Amino acid sequence: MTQVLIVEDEAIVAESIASKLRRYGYEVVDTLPTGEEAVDKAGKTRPDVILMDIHLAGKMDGIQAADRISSQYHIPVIFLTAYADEQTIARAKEAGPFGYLVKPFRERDLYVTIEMARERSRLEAELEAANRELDSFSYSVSHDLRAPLIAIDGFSRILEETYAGYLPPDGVECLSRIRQAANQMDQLIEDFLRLSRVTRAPIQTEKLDISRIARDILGQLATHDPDRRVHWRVEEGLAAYGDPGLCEIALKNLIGNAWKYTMHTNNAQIQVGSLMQGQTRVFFIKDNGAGFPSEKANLLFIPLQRLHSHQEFPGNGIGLATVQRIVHRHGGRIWAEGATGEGATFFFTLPEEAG
Amino acid sequence: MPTVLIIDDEDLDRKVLHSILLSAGYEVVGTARSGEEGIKLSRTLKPDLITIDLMMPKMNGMEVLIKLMKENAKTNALICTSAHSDPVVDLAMRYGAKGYIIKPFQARSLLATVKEVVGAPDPARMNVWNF
Repeated sequence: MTQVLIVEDEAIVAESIASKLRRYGYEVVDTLPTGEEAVDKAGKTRPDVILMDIHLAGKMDGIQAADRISSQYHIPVIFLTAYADEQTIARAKEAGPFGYLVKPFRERDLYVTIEMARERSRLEAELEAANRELDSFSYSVSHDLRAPLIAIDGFSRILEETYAGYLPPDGVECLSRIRQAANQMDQLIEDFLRLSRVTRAPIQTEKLDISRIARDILGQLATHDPDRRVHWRVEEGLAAYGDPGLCEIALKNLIGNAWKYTMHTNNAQIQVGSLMQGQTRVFFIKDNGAGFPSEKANLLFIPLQRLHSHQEFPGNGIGLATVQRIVHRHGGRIWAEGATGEGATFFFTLPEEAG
Repeated sequence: MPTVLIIDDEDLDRKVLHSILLSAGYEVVGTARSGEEGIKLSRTLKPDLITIDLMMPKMNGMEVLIKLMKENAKTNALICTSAHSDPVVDLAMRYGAKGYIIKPFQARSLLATVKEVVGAPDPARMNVWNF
């Protein structure tokens, strides 16, 4: 039987909700008047769902109590309140509620909201477990795959350095191919490891000078590739909040791609800038390189999907998947526009405020 | 008394290895988070023993070993790897490693390997805990 905890400081209201719930076949574990008691009880009895009033008797209000409960015990909380002003709703959102019912509400709405919250909470728990398993799996697989590769490369190297004299030229060529393939696979695994690390690493947010980071990356690319002539323009004063390590990986990938895909372009140009979409600042990185078929834009962020051959543009198709995960982990969005031979533009958003 | 340099990119592994060696009475003179840093440290610290983690980004443990042996053929190095009886261990030995340590670390067998290479630690420095 589904167990429900009711947190409501008006005893008559609490009892009326409790009797309605019992009629629907729920078990009401308790009705409590304060947030403090609710947090305590939630930890001890672990109910399936908590119905929470926002204005409560104690010092802690319902939103604070819900925040504590959802972060500590992952129990779905539904707000039941007479208040629906913007400020309250904005605060309530922060606590990650599974529902928000404005009093007076209909019995049937309460029932439906509880059932939906239970289902969503179950799915979220399942998804979280699956993700954790996948991460630890890909981490250990990547580690275990690398050891044999190091052996393949190392023994080939001994053959090459010590016994090359016993081999005909074609044999030496074969050896160098073996080493090349081993190194390619090693790079692939390292990129996978980074992708998995990006998912697992905790995020530490601080204010980032996007313009400066972008200029530094472009500067490094130019130093590594002194033969290239690329015109770049970086808008001044671009700022956002994010994890410095992760955002640098994302920008390195995006700007590195712009650099790479303009390598066969005359008069190569890269632009890092921003535009406003409603209230939201959208950053973009635009190039005039090889582009991609616009109908395939949705494939760009899938790991291992490549829209160009390895001969044409080297790469393994993990970079943009990594970028997407980084942006999503910050609560941002990322998308791309482009056309074959007409360049590509990658748009993304990042938090504009701390926290 | 034998001195040790630890090269490992994983914070936890570095700390665990450090504390095992320290408690047994070895002097850990340095720790490095990457192969490049480890090679630099080895030049100034000249430790009696260097432990090298195999799985490190950028420069893996085998490359570090090869470079260290090239710089000083008398280096005492142990390679840390998660899979034993692996061709990788054979390769490390060919490149001059004195042995290997299995991850996750087990104090008893790890200390036996270390002792074989650089001898017993100073008993006066030994911690009261016995692994």
